[in-house]
This record gives sequence, structure tokens and C-alpha cells, in this order.
Amino acid sequence: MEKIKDGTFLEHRDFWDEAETEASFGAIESGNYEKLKDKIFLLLEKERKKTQYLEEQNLYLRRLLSRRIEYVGSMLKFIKDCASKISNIDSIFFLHKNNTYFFWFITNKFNEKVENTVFSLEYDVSKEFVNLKFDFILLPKTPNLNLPLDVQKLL
Amino acid sequence: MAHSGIHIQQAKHNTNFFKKIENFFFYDWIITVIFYIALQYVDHFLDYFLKEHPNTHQDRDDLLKMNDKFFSKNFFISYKSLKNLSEMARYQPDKWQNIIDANKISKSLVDLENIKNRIP
Repeated sequence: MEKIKDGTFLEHRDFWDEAETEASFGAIESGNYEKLKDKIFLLLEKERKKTQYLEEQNLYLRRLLSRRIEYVGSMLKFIKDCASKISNIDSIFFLHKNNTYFFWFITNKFNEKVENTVFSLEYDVSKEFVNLKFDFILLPKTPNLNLPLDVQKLL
Repeated sequence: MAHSGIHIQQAKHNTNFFKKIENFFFYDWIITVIFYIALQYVDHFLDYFLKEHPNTHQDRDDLLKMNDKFFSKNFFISYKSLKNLSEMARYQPDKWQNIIDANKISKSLVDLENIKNRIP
């Protein structure tokens, strides 16, 4: 049986196969039970370290996801708060696609002032949330908005 | 990869086409041509200032927003307004006809001038 290198994580099947093989053809036949005990202890220790590593990774990813959700939530709140102060905005829809947050601003009065305010907001939001990508679209209110089916309503 | 001189050349080419259609009432195409004149100037500036050559509209928008040392907020708003109108003209046939008229074209030409005036 080859010596197990440090840092090698064995699958459960490998672990039992190795222990069984060792038991069958090695230690038991030769009567060296101490050697078998050491080997099993070593394998168990490696399994424990592997489990600990995976648990730490899982915790790290959960924290990362939690922070991301919080960050995106604060971005949505920021946009909602700012947009609610813009006159003539009827509704806002958004969609996260291709690593970009698309926002559709639906206005009941499409004029220069609304255009400037909405695109100014896009500029400001991009500065405030530099880790996210944005694309704002301004559309007049019509009976059929022609938006993607999976948009969500923000306002 | 096009060098910045090519973008100015293409902007002039697009401007020549604009002059041929500006007196017709095809506002959807007029706004589209104005936008593509502006886009060539923007690509020229991105190459000149940043040596950047965006492959997508999104990349181009992001570069303008993230480089306020070279591009002002008003520059971005002018460009974005042209982009928004041209996309509406191309993809929202039930919407643009009530929005894009002679006045809107005049305002868009002002936006185009705002962009061209960034020439170093």
C-alpha cells in the first residue's frame, strides 16, 4: 500500500477500499495491527479536515451571498427612493441578465426633463454601486409595453 | 481593431448620409443615423483617451460612466438619450411615432454637438 500524501482528500469509497485492502493483504496477515490502526487514524483525520474545509467554504459562500443580497437590496432601495421623486414616472421594471441590471422607466410624459433625470440617475447609481452594471431604458406609457416576460416591478 | 482616425472617418461618412436624409420625414432612421454618428465619436474618444475598444453597447456605456476624468455626466446623458431614442425607433414601432418628431430631432442634434465638442 502506497503511503498517503498529506493534503490528499480521499473519497469515502477510496477510504474503505484502502482500509479493506490494507486489512486483507497487509496488516492482518502480518499481524501488524498497530500499523493498521495508525493508517485508519490518518485516513479519518484527513476526512475530518476535508469536512472542516468544506464547512468553512460553505460558510464563506453563504456570507458572500448574504452580503451580495444586502448590496443589491440597498441598490434597489436607492433607485426606488430616487425614482419616486421624479415626476411623471408611472412605473419601473427591472431584470438581471448578462451580469447587468436593466431598468425600464415608464413615463406618462416623455420629455427632455424626464430623459435628463433618468439618465442622470443611471450615472449616479453607477457611481454609488460600482460593482454592478446598469442599463436604464426610458419608454412612454403605451397599452403594450413590450417588456421581457421575466421583468419584476420595482415601482 | 479600428484606430481612432477610422472612427472620425466613419462619423463623417455617417454625417454625409444624414445630410441626404435629413429633409425627409423618416424620423426613426434619422435618429438612428444621428446615434451612429455619435457612437463613432464616442469610440474615437475612448480610443484616444483610454485606448479602449468596446465590443458591446453595454461596455461602451460602462466606460463612459466609469471614466469621469474624461467624460462628464452631461456627455453621458447626451449619448444615452440618443441611444435610448434610436433603440426605441428600431424596436418599439408603437412608441416612437408619438415621441420622435422634428423638435426631438433638433434636440438630438444638440446632443450630437455636445458629444462632438468633446474633441480634444
